[in-house]
Amino acid sequence: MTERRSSAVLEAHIEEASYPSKRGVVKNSFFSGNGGELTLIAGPSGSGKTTLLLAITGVLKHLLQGRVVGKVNLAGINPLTEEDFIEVPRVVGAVMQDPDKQLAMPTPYDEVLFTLENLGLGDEERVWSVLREYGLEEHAFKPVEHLSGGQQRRLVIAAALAHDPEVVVLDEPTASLDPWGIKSLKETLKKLLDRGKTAVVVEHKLRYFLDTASRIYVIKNGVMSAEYSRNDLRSSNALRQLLMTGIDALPPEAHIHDARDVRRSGEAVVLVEGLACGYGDEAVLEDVDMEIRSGEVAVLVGPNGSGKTTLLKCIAGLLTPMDGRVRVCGEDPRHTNIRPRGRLAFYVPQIPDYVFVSSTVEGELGEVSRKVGVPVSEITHSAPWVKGALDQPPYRLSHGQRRWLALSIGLAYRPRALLLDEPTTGLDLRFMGELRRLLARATRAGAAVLIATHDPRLVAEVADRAFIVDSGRVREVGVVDALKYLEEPLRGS
Amino acid sequence: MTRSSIWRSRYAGREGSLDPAVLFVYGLALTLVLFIDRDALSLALIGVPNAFIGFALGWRKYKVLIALFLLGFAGLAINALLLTNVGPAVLVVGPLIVRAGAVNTFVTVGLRITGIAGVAFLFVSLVDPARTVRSLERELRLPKGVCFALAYALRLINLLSKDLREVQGARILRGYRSVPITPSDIKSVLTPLLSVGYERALWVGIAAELRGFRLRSVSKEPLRIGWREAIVLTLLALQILVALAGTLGYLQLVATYTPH
Repeated sequence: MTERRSSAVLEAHIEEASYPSKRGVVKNSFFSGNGGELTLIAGPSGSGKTTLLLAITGVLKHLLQGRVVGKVNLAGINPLTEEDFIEVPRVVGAVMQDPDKQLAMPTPYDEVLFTLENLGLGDEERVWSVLREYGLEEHAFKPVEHLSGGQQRRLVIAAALAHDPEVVVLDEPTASLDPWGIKSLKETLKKLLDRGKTAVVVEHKLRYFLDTASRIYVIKNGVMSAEYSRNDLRSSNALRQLLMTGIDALPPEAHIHDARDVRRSGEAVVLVEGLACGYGDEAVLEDVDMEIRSGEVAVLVGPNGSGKTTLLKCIAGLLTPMDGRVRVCGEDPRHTNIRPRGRLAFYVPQIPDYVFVSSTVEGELGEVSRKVGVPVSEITHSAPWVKGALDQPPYRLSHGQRRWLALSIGLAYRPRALLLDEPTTGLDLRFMGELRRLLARATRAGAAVLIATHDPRLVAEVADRAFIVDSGRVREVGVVDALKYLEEPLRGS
Repeated sequence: MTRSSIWRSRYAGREGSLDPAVLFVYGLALTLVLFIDRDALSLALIGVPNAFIGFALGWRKYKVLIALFLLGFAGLAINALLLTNVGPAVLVVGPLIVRAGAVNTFVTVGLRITGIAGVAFLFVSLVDPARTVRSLERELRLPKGVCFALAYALRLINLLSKDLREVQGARILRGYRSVPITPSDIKSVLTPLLSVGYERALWVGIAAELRGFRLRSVSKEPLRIGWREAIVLTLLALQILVALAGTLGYLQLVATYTPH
């Protein structure tokens, strides 16, 4: 650990922080940040990163009735005291995980105005300027439920930073953001840093911030285990060390392998012809033609709100096409006689909680086993942690664990087409490896896999084929071109 | 006209609609009236028109909720038969004898909850949460925490509809009934909905605190009474009079002495 910087805008020394039900989730962790600096906090899933952010903002102690022992200085205030905690919003703009769970108002306009009104800055021009900055002007009065996951993420960030705070605290800000959203976020952060603001970012995908970060703190098992300065980050040795800790700091090109030639030998599983789909009378996609064969992994990339989820739902038979047709193994997924329908095409949504039907993990696994006749041990053999979580509600598992469970449920149905919506959001390297193994199992069994994603790492590692979804159309491109498409917006930023 | 000015004029149009505070007073007052009123005729006179308008306005957005509400009448009928099936027989269907007590309970309670649901759908269909917060805290001077909770509850209806669609989709794929029938179905549909709802409520509360909700200072404004609001308040006054007349027995007298 480095020496404490007394002039720092942000200084946190957490001796112990825990939730009411647990003891010592975070221990002996110190970090600081000066004006104009970006501090990154990295660590594997469940290492205590979010708890640390909740502790330093005072949320853990004052709103979640947790225990926090230590000292915090956030731009001159101590959020651990009741009096100063009230002042936190004046100096801090904070965004936690799961954007859709933080939106209080019905439209983006109202959401941004809410922050400004709370702080006595309610000014219509300012609302428009913030919405413009985050590319949400066109959606100002769209119901937030109709925004895509990435657009919701942009909105949460816009609303939290609308009042131009001294300190910015962001938890996994790039999760589910498209490259343009990440670029916009980076530009916003850079502008804030140029104006002398202080930023703390918890992030799995470090590479997005390596050029901006002043230092990286690594937290493991609740303890700060390493600190890297900007100079350290220039050496590949430091990046390798981070990688060994389970933190992804390498560019996705590093993962491209040459073994994934497109295999055209399998039978066509998903066939889409002249498809138009959307909601109500409004078509989101038109003239979509695609064919995905058995054993192939195809990815859909494109901006937030471009229609990737709509297409997946249409293929799963959960949305009725407005025109054209969808066939999975020659069957119309909406009118198939195959039961359960998930045996034909299984869609795993962005929010995995929707998939669960039981109140415990054990019950969930039992239900799957009963429904499709797969032994529980076969579902769980790749995840030893499940044994310790059998009596827990699936909704209380960590983000990565919930994703794993939803995906494993989908796989247990042995679907001919497996459709995944943003499966890597919030996943660390360990769960990424787990995801790769599960996908390999699916393709070995002959499934066609279609994944909607913004994650270049996933595209580089698993995709055989790639489609770009943009401006209401879908076109096939090479995997490398898809990677370039995802990387291009970030090169100049 | 630029895009932004189009949006602005749209927003201005929104501001020009019915004052949510007045609609809130209307809804709250009528709900209380419908709770207190025990006269079937006045309940019908108040409940049916409100239900008709409320369900019609809410049908596009809340058809699932309205359908679930109407399904609830089966439960009401069973309750009435089990608990209040007394008095002279009114209807005999095979071994089942339906007595006046059960009919009276079904009609009275049915009209009451239909009226209350109608008023609720009327309210949620005509107001938007953001304006409701501002209007209730500035004009009615309700505590800001109460206004925010109410506004969020209004928003939650749309979110629940969306969540329900997602849960139903996942259930179809997993081979479960998308419309719950058995208690076990209902439990397995409600569990994810409640879980996601609880997480939302928790994190929205935290996000609101971190965005300065506690610092929110409320400027007071007088209640805005235009012609729309005047009509709503007049209708409310008339319905209160009807309820009063019903409770005091005047409506029965009028009905008895009206020549057929």
